[in-house]
Amino acid sequence: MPENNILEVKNLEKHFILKKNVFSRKKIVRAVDDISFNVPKGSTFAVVGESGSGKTTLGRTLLKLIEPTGGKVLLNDVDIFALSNKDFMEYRRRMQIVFQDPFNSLHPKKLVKSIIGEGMKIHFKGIREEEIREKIGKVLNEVGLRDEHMFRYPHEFSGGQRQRIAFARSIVLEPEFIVLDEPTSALDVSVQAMVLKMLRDIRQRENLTYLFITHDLSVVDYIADYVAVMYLGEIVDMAKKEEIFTNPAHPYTELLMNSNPIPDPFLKREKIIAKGEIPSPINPPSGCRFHTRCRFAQEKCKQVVPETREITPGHVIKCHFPLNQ
Amino acid sequence: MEMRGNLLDVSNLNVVFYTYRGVIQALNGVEFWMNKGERLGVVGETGCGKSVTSRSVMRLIEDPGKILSGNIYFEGKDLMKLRESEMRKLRGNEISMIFQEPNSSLNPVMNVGFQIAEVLGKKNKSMIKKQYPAAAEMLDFVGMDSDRVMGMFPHELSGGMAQRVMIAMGLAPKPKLLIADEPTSALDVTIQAQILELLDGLVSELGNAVMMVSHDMGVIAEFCDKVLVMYAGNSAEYASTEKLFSNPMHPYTKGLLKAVPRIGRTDELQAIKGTVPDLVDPPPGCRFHKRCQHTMDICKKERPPFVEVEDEHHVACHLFAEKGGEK
Repeated sequence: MPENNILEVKNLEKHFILKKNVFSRKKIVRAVDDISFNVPKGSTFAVVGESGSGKTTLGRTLLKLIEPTGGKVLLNDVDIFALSNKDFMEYRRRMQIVFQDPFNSLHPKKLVKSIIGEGMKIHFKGIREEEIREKIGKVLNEVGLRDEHMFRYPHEFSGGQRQRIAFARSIVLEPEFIVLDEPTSALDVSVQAMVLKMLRDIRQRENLTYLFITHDLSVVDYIADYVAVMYLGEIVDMAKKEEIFTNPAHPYTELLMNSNPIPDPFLKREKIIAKGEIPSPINPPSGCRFHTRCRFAQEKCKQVVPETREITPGHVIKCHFPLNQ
Repeated sequence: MEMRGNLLDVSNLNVVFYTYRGVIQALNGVEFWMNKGERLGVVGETGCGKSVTSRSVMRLIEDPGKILSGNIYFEGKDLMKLRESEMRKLRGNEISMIFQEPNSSLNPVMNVGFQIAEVLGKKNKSMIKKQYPAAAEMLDFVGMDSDRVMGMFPHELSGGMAQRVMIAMGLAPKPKLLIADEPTSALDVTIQAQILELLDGLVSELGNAVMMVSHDMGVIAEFCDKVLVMYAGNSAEYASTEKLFSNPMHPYTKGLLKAVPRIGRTDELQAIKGTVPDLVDPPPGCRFHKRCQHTMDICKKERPPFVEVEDEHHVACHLFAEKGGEK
């Protein structure tokens, strides 16, 4: 059902060039390396990975918050990288982002009203002050805060409330697509549960589409419809959520799931302990990038880069020897 | 006084912090105890006082904080009555500590070998030099290549490696109690699994007790024998891990367990309403009463006693206070 895709990412690349000084040789970090995926309208697409996997860079690159090195991003079949700055403005509004740390992403000296209202003054030209107020009140209610909160400063709110404000700031512009970059990682569990619930409810009510970036697989299970697992700049495993959880095909996905500690002392399970550390993305391993830590690695994995292929309909994987096949 | 645990017994611990906003009542009558070789998990949300508790045991509360009152018995000694010089002998020998941010707890201008040898050499220059072989042995013990790592500086280490070095430093003096304050919270899950596995093996071998401070119920369930649940500076519930997870009694513990998302069980996810109270002006009575589903009149007025409701299962909640009284 390609006609239902709101977002199509094709061979997206973002390389950072590291150069210590004029004489040193150029080093390239392939933070996002040849990534392609589609996000169906109205769904939550989760991107999971550890630090250094490139998940945050992916989120920012596809919004053009950082300039991509190559590839295409289509929002409703429009190539957003090919647009002129003027035409792109409209897409800035339609694609929003919420950042991880609600303590740094809200301006400390501005009232909540100006934090949320600023975008409207830019994107809805000629909007009247009363209308702005009315809209701010409406979104504040929607995210579970009250109208009068717009006359307060960010420091007067708790972490969970700030994250609600950050979310209100993005939905007030009536976007179609929101990148949520670890929106609950800085929050305590009891607060996280509330924020996740709110995010899920609003998505359904407003028919939004999310790209949900996280390192926590249990959160993914709660909120996502589709999952892409990233490792050192590449998507190694991608499928519907149910498929990923019931039939993990990539050894890395299996490892991530197994490493997630489970709050049940009666559950006795065999722990898989990965070999070694996460390699540096500056100099990723040859062949399959996961081979240094994979417990099934063979000679072929060290030399040949695995193809991205579909093992069952909708389940894409980058591995020579997938599990359970 | 008879100790309730044969290693550590903390009772009625009160710690305050003097700030410009007022006096923060960080710990208010905290109680728990530990036996030799036991692994205690201290769990709670941000600001509940779990780190303050672990630091209080080592008497590491600095200005503007102060331990107002309380008893901390460690192997029969009342730590509150020890002189600072005696306390210093205890720290890093019988009780040692590892912190959450391994990279910022290591000295950036000293190499790894020196830092471990320093712990063993008790800050004495000539002694430190003699301890290098022992330091290398410790690094091998925590699964690192000592030939390579001894001369490395903290900035050359990844998070997982730095935490291994911290563990080596913590365990080098063969302490009776190791306090681990969120030892894996800054690490990725796969590295966290490695470190927990390592710590599990080492502690089983050395037989020392561990006090593990964490906000992660999963880590606690997998690592600890006993759990202390803290809320807003109070001991809320204290029981064996099995009892706490199978039969949580305190409404806060119940809420906390339901708020943790679990793969395959996310439909049951429930939040606790409200937020953690401000400890400058904590609510009267039970500090949880504003967020509790079972609030009674007494909860708003009286502080619930910390009582043994069932065998070795202690709860501070008025719902169970009578039950404990009967016993």
